[in-house]
Amino acid sequence: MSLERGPFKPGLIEPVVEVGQRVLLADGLKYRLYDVANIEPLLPSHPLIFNGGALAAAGVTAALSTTAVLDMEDSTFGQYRVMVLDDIHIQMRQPQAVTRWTNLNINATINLFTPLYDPCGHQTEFFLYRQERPFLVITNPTGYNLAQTRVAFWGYKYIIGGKHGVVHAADLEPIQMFDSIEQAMASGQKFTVVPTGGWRT
Amino acid sequence: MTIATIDHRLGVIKTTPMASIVAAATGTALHTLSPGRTARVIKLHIANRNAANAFVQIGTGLAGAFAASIPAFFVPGGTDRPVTEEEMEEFEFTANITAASTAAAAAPNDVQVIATVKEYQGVTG
Repeated sequence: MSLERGPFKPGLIEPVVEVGQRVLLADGLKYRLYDVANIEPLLPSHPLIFNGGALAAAGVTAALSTTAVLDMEDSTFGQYRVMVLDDIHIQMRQPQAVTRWTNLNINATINLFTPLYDPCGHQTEFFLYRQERPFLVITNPTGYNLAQTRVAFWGYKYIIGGKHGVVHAADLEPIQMFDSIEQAMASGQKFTVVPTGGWRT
Repeated sequence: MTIATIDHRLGVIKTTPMASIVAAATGTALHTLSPGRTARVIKLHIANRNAANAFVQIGTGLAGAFAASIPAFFVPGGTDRPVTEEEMEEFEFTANITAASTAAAAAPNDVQVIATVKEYQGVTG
């Protein structure tokens, strides 16, 4: 069962759960249940700004790894919101071959106009477990060269515990793992579902 | 009759690099519009550094292809003229914005123009 908090809530960013509650990390195929042992803010500040570098007029980058800025430690996951600082469009891929924010025919982007429609950035929210980082494809929509292409992130870090408590492990064994949301719902556990990207495991 | 308008659309505000008009009746680049977008000039600052009085126009087209989009601003020789958002026309540009003057010469006798524009989202930009 879901708790009242959760992802994509409008308003200033807040943790999706409280310490002591449980999260169900959903990566597309598997649903992994963990305890939340601690939460720490990741403040909007210059170290959390990704810079894709200079980009010519109408230029498009390759899929750029955000590893230096967004990677999380083992046994943690991150909750982030996004805002571009320059006149650019970003398309997010997570993992590298899976585009986020898509419908049947288009890939939506975050751009300079996004905060005008969504001032708190709740629609830009995404989660990443450990180093399952997103990749950014940056487009310069203007008719002139840009000296830098900056993307700002802010959010929270969650330290999670599995079957054996909080351990620093690359593959933290979950309290329970489910093959479907139906299985997870039928388990009687209380949790908040956290989608951690388009991963296929 | 007064016609009231409400601009319900959301736009981003940009400031152009300063344009220097160095020849009379010559369209000079003022703002490069991003493809697919439209824009309104919401603020202007014109400095006529020429001794002659000038009518300064905002429009589209470079050099001899300049076409004015809004009425000219009269700027006496050796003076400057700021134009606030309340005073600006609501004209919406769909192409790169340029400026021209009836009097201008090479610096320091040029006419300098800087604009603040509001760009609206388009299907590509």
